[in-house]
Amino acid sequence: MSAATPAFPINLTANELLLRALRSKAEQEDKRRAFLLRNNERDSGLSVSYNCTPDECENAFKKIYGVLSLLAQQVMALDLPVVADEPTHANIKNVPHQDDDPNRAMAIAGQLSGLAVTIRGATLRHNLTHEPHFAPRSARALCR
Amino acid sequence: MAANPILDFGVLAQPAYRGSGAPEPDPRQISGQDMDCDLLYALEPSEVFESRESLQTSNQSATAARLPIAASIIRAQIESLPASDDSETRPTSYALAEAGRVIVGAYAEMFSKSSSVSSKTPPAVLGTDDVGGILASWTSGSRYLAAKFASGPELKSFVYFEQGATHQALELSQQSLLEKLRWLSA
Repeated sequence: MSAATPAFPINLTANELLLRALRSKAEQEDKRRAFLLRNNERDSGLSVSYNCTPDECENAFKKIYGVLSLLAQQVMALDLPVVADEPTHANIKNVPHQDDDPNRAMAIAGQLSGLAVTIRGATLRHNLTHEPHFAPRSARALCR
Repeated sequence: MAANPILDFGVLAQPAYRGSGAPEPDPRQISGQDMDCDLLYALEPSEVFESRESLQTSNQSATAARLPIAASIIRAQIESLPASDDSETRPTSYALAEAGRVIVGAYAEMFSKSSSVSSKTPPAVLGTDDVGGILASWTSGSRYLAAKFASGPELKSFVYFEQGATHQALELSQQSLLEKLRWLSA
C-alpha cells in the first residue's frame, strides 16, 4: 500500500534542511544577496529546496556558484514561516521586496545569510546539458 | 546635512587597472593617503581629456580635473558589468549611469587630494539583480554598507547600512553614499 501524498501547501518541520543556490559571483562574495527576494518571488515567497541533495539543487541551474543551507528552525525563529508547495520545494514567507521595504528586506537577508552555511561553493559550475526552457516541473522544485 | 530616511526601523570589484607598467594597487588597502597617485600617468593622452570631462560632470566639488585611482578602479568595475559573465542579468543603462555617477563621484570626493580623511576602504562587491538594477556593497568588520541602483527611475534606489542590531535605509545620493563610505572606513 503506497503512502498517501501530502496535500500541499504544508508547513515544514523544524529540522528540515533548506537549500538556496548562489546564482552569481556577487552572491558568492556577498551571500546576503542570495536572500533578497526576486521579482518572480514576490507572490510566492523566497524559494528554497528541501528533501534533496546539493547535486540535485545545482543541476536545476545552468550556471551556479555554490549552495547555501540553513535549518527551517532557524528561519522560523525569525518569524518567517517555511511553507512547502511541492515534495522538494518550499517558500520562506513574510520576506519583503526591496522595492516595498528596503530596510527590512536588507536586514532579513543579512539575518538569513548569517545563519546559512556554504555546503557547496567557490567553484563555478556549468551544467552544459541544462535546458532551462525545457526543464521538467520537478526541476522547478529544486531551489529556485 | 542629514539624508532623508526612506524607512527607519533602526534600533540598526575586480579592479580593472588600466596601467602601463605601474604597480597595481591592492584595493583591500586603498587609503586616502595613497591617493596622491592619480589616473593621469596611467592613461593615454586621449583618455586624459575624457577623464577630465567625465570628472566635471560627475563631481562638481572636485578641485582637480584628475580622477583618484580608487575612483578610476571602481569606475572600471562598474563599466565592466554589462560584459561580465558572472552576473545573471545585464544592468540597464539607467542603473549603469546612476551607479557611475554616484559611486565614482563619492569615491572622487573621498579620495581627493584635499580630503583629510585617511581611510581603509574595503573593496566593493558589484553585481546586478534579477531586473537589471545594480547593487554595490562593502563590508568592514561588523559594518555593512550597500547602495542599490534601481533598474529604472520609477523604482526605489537606496543606501543601506548595518552594524549589529542597528540598520537603516536612506535616500541614495552621492552625499549620503559618501557619508556612509566614510563611516564604513573609519
